[in-house]
Amino acid sequence: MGRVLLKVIILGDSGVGKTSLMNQYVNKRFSSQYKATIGADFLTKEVMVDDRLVTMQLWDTAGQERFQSLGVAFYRGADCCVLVYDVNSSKSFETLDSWRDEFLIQANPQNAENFPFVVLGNKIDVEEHKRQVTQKRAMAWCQAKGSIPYFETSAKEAINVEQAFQTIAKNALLQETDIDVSPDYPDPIRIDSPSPSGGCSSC
Amino acid sequence: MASASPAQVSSDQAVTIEPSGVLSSSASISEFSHGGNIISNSHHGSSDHVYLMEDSSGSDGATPNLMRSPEEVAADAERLREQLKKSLSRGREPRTDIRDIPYDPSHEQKFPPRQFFVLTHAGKPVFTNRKIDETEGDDITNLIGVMHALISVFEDDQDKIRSIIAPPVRITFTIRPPLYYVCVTPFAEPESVARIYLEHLHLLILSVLTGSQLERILTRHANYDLRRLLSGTTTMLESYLDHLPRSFAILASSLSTLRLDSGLRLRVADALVPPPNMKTRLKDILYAIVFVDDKVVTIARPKKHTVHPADMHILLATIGSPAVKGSAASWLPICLPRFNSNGLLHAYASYLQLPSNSAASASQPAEAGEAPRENEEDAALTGGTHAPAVCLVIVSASGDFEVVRQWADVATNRLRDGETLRQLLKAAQRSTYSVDELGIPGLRHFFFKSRPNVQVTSPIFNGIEAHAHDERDQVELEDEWERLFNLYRVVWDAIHAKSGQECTLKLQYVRTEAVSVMGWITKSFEIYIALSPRLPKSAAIGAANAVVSWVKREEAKLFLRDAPVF
Repeated sequence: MGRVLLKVIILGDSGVGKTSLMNQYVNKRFSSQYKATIGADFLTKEVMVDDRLVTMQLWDTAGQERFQSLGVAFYRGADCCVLVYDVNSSKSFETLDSWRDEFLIQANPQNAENFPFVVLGNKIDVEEHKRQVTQKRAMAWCQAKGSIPYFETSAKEAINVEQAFQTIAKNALLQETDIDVSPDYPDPIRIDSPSPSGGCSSC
Repeated sequence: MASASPAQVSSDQAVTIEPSGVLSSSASISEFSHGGNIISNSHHGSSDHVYLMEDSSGSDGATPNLMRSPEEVAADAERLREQLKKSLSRGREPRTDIRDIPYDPSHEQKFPPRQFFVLTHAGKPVFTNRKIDETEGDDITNLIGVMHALISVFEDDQDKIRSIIAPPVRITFTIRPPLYYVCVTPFAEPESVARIYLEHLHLLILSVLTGSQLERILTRHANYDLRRLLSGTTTMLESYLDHLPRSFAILASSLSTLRLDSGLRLRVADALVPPPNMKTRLKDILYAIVFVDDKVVTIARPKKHTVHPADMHILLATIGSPAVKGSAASWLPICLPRFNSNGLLHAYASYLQLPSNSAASASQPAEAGEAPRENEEDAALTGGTHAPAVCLVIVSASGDFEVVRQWADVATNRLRDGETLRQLLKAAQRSTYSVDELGIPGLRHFFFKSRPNVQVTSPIFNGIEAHAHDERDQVELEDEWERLFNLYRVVWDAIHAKSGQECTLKLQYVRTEAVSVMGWITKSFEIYIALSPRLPKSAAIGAANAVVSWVKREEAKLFLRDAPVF
């Protein structure tokens, strides 16, 4: 059996540094040739989580934020959602709510209250006086949304990026393995009654 | 796939491949007897003059367009009249009526391995037969990501991607929510053929998971990694994918039958029918089947149930998997998706061995002289690498193992007692035939499908060079066979107009330097013959007629016509 694949969706306003964060994290293997064609881009990285090697697939919205980002089909079955804002832009922080809602509506996860999100406040390398969102304010929001893990990062200076994605991988893996599919044996067939889908004598 | 650009992406609504045949013992063979002379056998069969009229009535599945304007209808009627006129005048010059498929050198190439991918609707990998190239890293994850992105782009537009044409390959998509199937096949292989592969892969996965379980799990947990539930079946999936392109029976939605004396086949059938006093206990039995290798000997079933060829191929794949093959008794949960894709059945499979003679010879010293010889013969019948494998399979809707096992024991004893099993093993060793048996000049090989019986028969392949009985290089023979099969597939696709050909034509012909292949379809049969390329087309028609007459004479042995019901 192959390695576990963790599907991670990265959302946030245009220009907050989603792509830069991914590049900083994955750095060696960057490919963007699909972006223009299909409106979506992803990067993969192999990560060790608790002594287990997993493949993390990070989905980026390829410059399509204006068009409501990706569609339902892309969000389906995500293991973790990363919300990114720019600490120097209040507006990008205020839209986190709608990005979170957008994700929950589109992906429609089974257990929405416990779905793993991670929030990243990016661009902390910019001069302090330009900062518009305090750490306190951001953490309060995360707390209110069900204790979402929060990291302040700089894609440019590689601050906290590794730690943030390690947490993302860890929480995604928890989500992925936390499925108990009881092998409930499918419905027995009664052959003396016409079956709904098969057993037709005319086909 | 990254190198696939510039790619043409064609999209369309879903394609469903309907099961085109069911085996039914009640189907009349008389239709087949009418399928005689090629000259008068028009699909419509109404006039002696109408010679191989183009099938414009769509009786083979062309759907009438209900949205046409009266002008278009009138134009069509005019076109039909023209065609009729042409057909009528053509009737006097028989040879020109075969449609020539333009020769394409790629038909003769040796194809690279076909690659298959299965992913969930979340883009999680489920299965692939593509080998991981360690030097390139795990590019399968990336490939599957791109596939998922492509499918999703179309899905978000309420559309479905069908294929990407990127010579020398073709990438074909089959969307069966919650699963997506993709294959990369040679461009020279028709898309319709790739779709059959994908559909069969889907059916095999259903046979393990069932449609309802799949639906339930992936609706509730869209991110679920299905590989957990499929672990242990990878080998079966891989060998089925190797088998698919080599099976004409699967291509033709039919069964492959063991050539057998009809009396012996009947005795096997009799052994499978439950005794009257067991009928109530065995009310959940769906099929009792005897296979020899991958060929059907006979199938006993309750009267009201039919046999679906695709289900039989799945059953064969399952009993042929390493865990089951050769074992005396296996009890397997299995879904036969054409019968019911949502429910689980149980199959009891037992590879039958001849009873050991040692006990008999010890108690009867007088016959001691005889016994060793018989033992030797038995050893040849059941041991050895080329010994035929006889498998008894009983499919039951109930999970009551004991009931099924008891009946299997009864059936097995019946087969052993009357020497039936021994005779079956002997007959199986002589069941193959070569084209030489038919004595038709220039004939190299053929496939014949009896449409009423939904069964195929073909001789063993000895190469396309005439009388090359010398030591043939097995690899060379294998290559020749693969190239010939490519041609068969192209002709099959043309006959059924599966690749958007203007219409179905009942006779198709293609010639390469090495061989010519002609396909011909009538109401009662389909035939594909491989001939020396030096034969003129008229001779091809003669040869086809000769094969048809031979099959007609031999049909009691070639096909299972009177499958027992209970």
